[in-house]
Amino acid sequence: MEAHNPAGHAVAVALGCCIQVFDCRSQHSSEAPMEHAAAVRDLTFDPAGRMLLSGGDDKCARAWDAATGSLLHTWEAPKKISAVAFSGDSRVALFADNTITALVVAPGGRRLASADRDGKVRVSVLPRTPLLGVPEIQSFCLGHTAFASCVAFADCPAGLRMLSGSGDGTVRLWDPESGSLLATLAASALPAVPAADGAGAAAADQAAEDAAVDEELLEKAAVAAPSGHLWLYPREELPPAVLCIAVAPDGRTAAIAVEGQPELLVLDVDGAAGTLTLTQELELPGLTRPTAAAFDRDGRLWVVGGVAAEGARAGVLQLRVAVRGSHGGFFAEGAGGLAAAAQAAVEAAYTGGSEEGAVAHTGAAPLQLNSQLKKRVFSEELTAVRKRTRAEQ
Amino acid sequence: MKKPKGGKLGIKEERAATAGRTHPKKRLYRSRAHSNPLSDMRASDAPTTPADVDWAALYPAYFSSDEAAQGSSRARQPGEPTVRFVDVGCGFGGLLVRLSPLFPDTLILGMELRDKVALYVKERVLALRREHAGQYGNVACVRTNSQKYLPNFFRKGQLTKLFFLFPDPHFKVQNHRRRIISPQLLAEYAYLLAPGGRVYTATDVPELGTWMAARLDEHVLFRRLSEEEVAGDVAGGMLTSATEEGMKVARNEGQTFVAIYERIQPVEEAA
Repeated sequence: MEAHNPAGHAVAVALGCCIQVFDCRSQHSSEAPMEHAAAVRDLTFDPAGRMLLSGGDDKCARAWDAATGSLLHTWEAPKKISAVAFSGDSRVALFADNTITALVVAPGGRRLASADRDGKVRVSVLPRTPLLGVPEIQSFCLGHTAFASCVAFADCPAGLRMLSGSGDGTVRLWDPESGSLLATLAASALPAVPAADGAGAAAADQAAEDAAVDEELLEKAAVAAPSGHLWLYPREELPPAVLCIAVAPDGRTAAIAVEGQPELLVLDVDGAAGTLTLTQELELPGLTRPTAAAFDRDGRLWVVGGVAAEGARAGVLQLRVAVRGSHGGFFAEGAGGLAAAAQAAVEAAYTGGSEEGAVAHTGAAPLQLNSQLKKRVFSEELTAVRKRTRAEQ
Repeated sequence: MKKPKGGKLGIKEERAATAGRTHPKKRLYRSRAHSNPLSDMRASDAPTTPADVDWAALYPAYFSSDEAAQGSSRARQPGEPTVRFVDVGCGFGGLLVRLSPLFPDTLILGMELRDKVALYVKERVLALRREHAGQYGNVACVRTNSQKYLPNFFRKGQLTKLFFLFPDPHFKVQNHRRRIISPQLLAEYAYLLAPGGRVYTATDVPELGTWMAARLDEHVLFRRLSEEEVAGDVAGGMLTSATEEGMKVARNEGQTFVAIYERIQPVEEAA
């Protein structure tokens, strides 16, 4: 989980419960501990780059001073916080719980997009005084067939456009005012043959775990339905999820990170024609698993990747910055670049484990999002079993 | 259907044997009174978009047989009949059946969370269509979770009436978020209703009545109807007399709290 300071020279990274801000100009990382009591789910800088907002499983949203790392305010919510955002004027902190996976305020500050685990992306009219609630919905963008994981606005000359990524492996382009779907791009697909690497093993582990749950339910079912009639639990297979969408300030270029994949996908966004075109598969040296990306004001692409080990302090974290070449494609910034120091600082801060060790240790990490956010779909039979066997309230 | 001598049919067998032949019997479709809408996780109940709903299957009388044969793959025609009234939590369908002849040109949909109750209403509508040729073609029922999937069924501004009659009160404060009238869900109802469209609420629980009215009062897109407007509302007159719950309350000489609101145009904020 990562956020990039719009002011252009700092990046905030959350790994587990801890947040660290790395300032590339002063070449040091935040020293004050910025911690939640449980995993951080989302974090963002305010538009001016002065504050950082984070929310997590400890049911708290916290606002921090981006420069000093000191805690400015804590809000307690009744449920785990899963998404945070600042209003366009930085005066209001927005956070959401439960099934919401992403909150993004549009350029101009009058629209708020939220994505949820049902695959819906909702565009709301953000009032000037959001503290009274957000009563008006502009549109619903419907089309994703699995959870929606991320949203980004693209300020195109043709008008405001919106991109969303999902557990169904697609990136979709929308007109947020009408909710109409303009384009769909398949960013990932179901693997044809289950690979024997970490990702495949993780999926197999998950499947085994799910099967154990099914076994247990079926045992109960056998008691409940003595006829001995057994059924199969149809398990929905999902391709690797789209983790993150970053849109460049020009509104024409987007970068996509896909779970478990080493390359970033660079897309051309044509808001007027309503098309998405894959222009580059960007592999950055030393970056094995990109998880989050952001463009700064100058159009440089900041990418954070790595693998978090359990407990999170010991993990592998990688930061790379890509710049656009004269031919239009992106390539990794050279050693003399602004981010080289931050890169060193980031990687020095997480020396708790070797990459191989961390990958082996957290084999489930590459496909974590998928198993966390995927909706559990129950067959009619299994629903009946659950009804019969559930504990009375 | 005669019961075979020497052995009683189980409820399931009897239900299967009578389905499609006689008027459904309520005792065969008994269900728990309550269901948790937040834990209802069946994606099979939700179309991806409103265009994916097979409306011709629900309202065959309003579509040609060709259109019905194409199922959900049928391309949407401009001006084709669309649902305007929705009874959210339609229960055993008392209101649907009463509204059907009153608004013969309007498609009315009942939505119900409990499987067996939804099944009963479907059977009831089919039986009524068989018994009264040419009638009741404008009402139908789907089993779904309205708290999650209303926008998957209907377009923005498509509906003109939304009914929330005798909803589950969810007394505990920690369960208030399961209530069908809440600030979050009212935003969705405002999205679905055309300006001038109406929300009907009724309950016999005073606390819930106050709560629902307070949530609607504080919402900027709804306006409470005056006494005269309520008196002039044909559907509003049905709320206590037509619904099964309403009749039950009347039998027990209880009190019913009715509130009707209109979806108003948002006032443009000064730039």
